Amino acid sequence: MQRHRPWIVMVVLALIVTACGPTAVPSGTGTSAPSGTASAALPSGSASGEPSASPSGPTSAVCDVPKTPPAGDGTTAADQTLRLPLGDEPESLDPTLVSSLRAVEIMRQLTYPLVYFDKDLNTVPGLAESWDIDGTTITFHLRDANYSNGEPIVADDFVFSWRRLVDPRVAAEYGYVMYGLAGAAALLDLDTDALPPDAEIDALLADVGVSAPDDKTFVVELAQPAAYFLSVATLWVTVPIQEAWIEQEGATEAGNYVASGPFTLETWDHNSKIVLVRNPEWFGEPAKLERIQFTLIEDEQAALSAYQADELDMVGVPSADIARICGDATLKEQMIETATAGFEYYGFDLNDDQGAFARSPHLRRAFSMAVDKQTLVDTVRQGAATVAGSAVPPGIPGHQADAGLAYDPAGAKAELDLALAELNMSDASELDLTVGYNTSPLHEQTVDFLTEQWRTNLGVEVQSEGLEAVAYSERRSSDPFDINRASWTQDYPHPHNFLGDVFAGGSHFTGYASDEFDDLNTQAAAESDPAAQVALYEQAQAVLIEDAPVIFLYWYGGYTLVKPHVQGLVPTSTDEDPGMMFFNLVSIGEH
Amino acid sequence: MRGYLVRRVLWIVPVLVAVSLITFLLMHAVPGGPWDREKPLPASVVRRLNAEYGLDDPIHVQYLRWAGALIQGDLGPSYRYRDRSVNDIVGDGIGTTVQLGVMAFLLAVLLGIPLGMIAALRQNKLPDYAATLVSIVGIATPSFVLALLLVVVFSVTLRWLPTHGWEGPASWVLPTVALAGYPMAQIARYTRASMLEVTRTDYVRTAYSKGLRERAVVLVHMTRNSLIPVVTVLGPLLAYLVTGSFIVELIFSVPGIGRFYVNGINERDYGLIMAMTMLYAVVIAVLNVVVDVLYAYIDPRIRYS
Repeated sequence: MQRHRPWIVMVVLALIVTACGPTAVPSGTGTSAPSGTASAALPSGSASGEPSASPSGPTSAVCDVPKTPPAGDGTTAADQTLRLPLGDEPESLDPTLVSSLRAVEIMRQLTYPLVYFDKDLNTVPGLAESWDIDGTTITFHLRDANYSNGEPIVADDFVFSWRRLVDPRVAAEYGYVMYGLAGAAALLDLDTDALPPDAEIDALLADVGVSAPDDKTFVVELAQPAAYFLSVATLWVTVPIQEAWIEQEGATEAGNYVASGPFTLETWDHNSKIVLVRNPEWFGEPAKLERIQFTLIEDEQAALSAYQADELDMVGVPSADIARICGDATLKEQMIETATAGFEYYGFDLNDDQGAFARSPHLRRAFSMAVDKQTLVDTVRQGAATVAGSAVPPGIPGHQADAGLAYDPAGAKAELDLALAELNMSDASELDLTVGYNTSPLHEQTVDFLTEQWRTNLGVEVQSEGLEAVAYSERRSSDPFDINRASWTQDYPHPHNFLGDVFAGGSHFTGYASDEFDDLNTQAAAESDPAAQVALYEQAQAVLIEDAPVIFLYWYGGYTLVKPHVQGLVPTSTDEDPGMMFFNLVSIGEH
Repeated sequence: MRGYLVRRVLWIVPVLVAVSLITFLLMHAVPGGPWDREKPLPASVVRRLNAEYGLDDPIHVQYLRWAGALIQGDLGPSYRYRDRSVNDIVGDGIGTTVQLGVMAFLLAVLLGIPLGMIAALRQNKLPDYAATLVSIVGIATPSFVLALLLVVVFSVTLRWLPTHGWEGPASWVLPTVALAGYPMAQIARYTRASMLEVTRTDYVRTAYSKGLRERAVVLVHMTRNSLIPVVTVLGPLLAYLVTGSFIVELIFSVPGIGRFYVNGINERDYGLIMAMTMLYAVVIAVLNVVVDVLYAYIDPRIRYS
C-alpha cells in the first residue's frame, strides 16, 4: 500500500527546497529501504509497507516454527537450480567494492577467503590450509586451488587484493577493516583534498604489511597484536584477486568473471537477474546445485506472490504477513525462523557536555529500563526479533542472553529521581527531549511505542521527529537528536565487530567515549586465547551496559518460507538469506 | 509551418537548461549526500570518495562539469553502482521501458477511444453506463492495486502468467495491462466528452439531416474533430508511459529504468537523478511539439505561421 510513498515524499522533498530538516512525514521504506548498504536495509527496514503489524488482540503474535527446514525426502530433481529473490541490484561484483548484504550473499558464492567458517561459525581453513600467528605476524599457508579459469590461486593475488583495498585511488568503502594492518592507516588516513602523486602512493602501498615469499605463503604484518584479524581474513573484501582479470574492461560481467568460490557467474542481466553456475575448478567438493538463480524483485509482496506461484524456492516473509502466513497450515510448515547478526538500538546524544543525557547516566538508565522490549518485539515486530540487553547477538562468541538493563518500571522511576537530582531539576516536565528516526512504518510504530512507555513509566513527554533515510543519516552524524534510532549489522561474526567497531574511540554518533571500554577492547583484540578473549569482551560489554550510551532493543530475526524440495540448507546467524554460507551443500528434491 | 517548427525546437534548449539547473540545485539542496548511510562510512573514506567524484568542488563547477560531459553524450558516473556509468545503466533499461510504454499506450488508445465513442453515441443508455463504470474504476484504481490484483488472479490463483520478469510475451501481458488501465480510462473519458460536444455541432446536425447514415457521420465527420482534445492529452500520456513507471516496474520486476526515478533520489545518486530528469524533460518537450504539429493535420482550421 505505501510502497509509493517514499517516492511522493522524495518528490515533495525535492520540490520544496528543503532547508528544513524536520519533516515528520510518514513514509514506507518499501524494500528499497533506508539504505541499500551493508546495514540497515535488511532487518530493520524490512518494513513491508502496511503498518498492520499493530498489536492484534490477545493472541500471541509470535510464530512457533523451527530454525532449520525439514530434511526433505532425499530425492534428486533433474534441474538442480535454486531460485532466490534479490531485493536490489548489486552495486558491484568486484570483491573490493561490494558493501551491501545482498551483494555479499553473491560474493560468498563467487569467492572464497583465506579463512572460512564451520556451521557454528568457528573459523576453519579456507584457501589457507593452515596459519601461524606469532605476535604481530600471521603466516597463511595456501592450499592448492584454482580460479574458475583454471589458473592457480597464488599468494601474490592476496597481496594485490589487500593493497587494492587500502588504495586511496580505489576508495573502497570497506577499507577500514584493514586499519590494524601495518602501514594501512597511513593510506586510509591520507588527506584526499590533495592526494600525493602516484609514485608516493605506490611507495606507501609497498610498505603495507603484506608479502608473498613464495606462491604458497602469504605473510601479514599487523600494527599491533590483534587476534580478531583472523576474522578479517574471512571477509569477502580479502579474497584473492587476479590483477590481470580485475583490470580488464568489464571484468565483473558474465563471461569475464574469474571466481575463487564454489560458483561462478553465468549470466548478469542488469536489473533483471543473476545466474551462478557450479565452478568445477573449486578446490572443495563440487556444489550439489548446478545453478543459483537470483531474480531481482524489489517488492516484498511481489516476491511473496512469486513464491506462492512456485517461481521461487525461498522468500523472506514481510512483517505485515507474518500473522497471516503463520495461520495458514500449509505455509506455516514451510516457514523457518531466521536470525541476522545485528541489533536495533536507540543512541543518546553525549556529544554536548551540557545535554541532559551527557550529564546524567542515571537518566540514560531510566530511559532504558522504562521500555518493555518483549511487548515491543511481540507486537511491532510480530516476534521476528529477540529482545536484546547488550550488543553481541546470539550465535556470536561473547553473546550474553541475560545481560543488560531489564524492563523495570519501578527501578526506572528510581533512576529518574536520581537523574533529576543530578540535573538540578524539580520535575520531569523540565526535560525537553526529542527522539529522531528515519521514517518507515516500522520505525514509526517503534517510536510511538517508546514515547508511550516513557510517558507512562517515567512521566516524561518526548517529542519525535522523522526524517527521510539519507537526510536522517546526515543529521544524526552532524547534529544528533537527544535520542537517535540506529542499527548495526555485522561485517564479520566476531564480538569485536559489535563492540569495538561500534562503540570504541568515541567515533560513533553518540559521542560515547570511555577509556575503560576502549582499553578492554584493545586488550581483547590482542588476546590470542579464545576463552580469555571472550571474557575480556564480556567485561567490555559490562562497561557498556553500565554506562548505557544506548538502549539496546532487539537482535534481528525474521521468518523465511522455504519450499519443501530445498534440501540440506544450513542456516547460520550471519545470513542474509538462510543457508547462504553453505549453498554448495544444498540440493533440490523432486517436486 | 517550417519556421514555426524550427522556433519550437529551438525553444527546447533553454527549457532543458532551466530544468537541469533547477534540478541540479534542488538535488544538492536536499539534506544528505550519496555517502550518508545507516552504517556510517569512516570520515576518511567519505573524503576520498568526494575527492574521487569531485563532490567537494563548488556547485557551479560541478554543474559545468556535468553539462560539459552531457554535451559529449556522457551522463557521468553512478555513485551507487560504482563500476558502471549512468550511460550503461540507462542504456540497459530504456529499451524495455519504451517497449512496455508503447505497448501500454497502444492498448490504452485502442480500447479507450472506442470505449469513449460508444459511451457518447449511446449517451445515458446501458453501454454508456457500462463504459463510464469501466473508466471511473480505471481512473480510481491506482496501478499498484490493479497490478497486485492481476498477480493474485492470473499468476497465483490461475497460474496462467508469470508473476514477474520480462522474458517473452507471456510476461509482458500483466505489466502492460496494469500500466494501460489508467490511461485507457482517461482517454475514454476525454473521448466521450469531446464526442458529446461534437454531436451537438451544426455540421453534425447537417450531416444527419442530409440523410447520412450514423456510421458515415461518426467516422467521417465526428471522429476526426472529436480527437483534437484527445490528442492533446495523448502527448503527455505517451511521455509518461515511455519514460517508465516506478510502481508497475517495481511490482512486476520489469528491468526498465522506471525504478531509477525513485532509487536515484533515495540513494542521492546525482548522475542518475539528472539523467532521468533530463530524459523525461526531453521526451515531454519533443512530444509537445509533435502534438502541436499533429493538430494541423487533424484540424485543417489550425494553421501555424
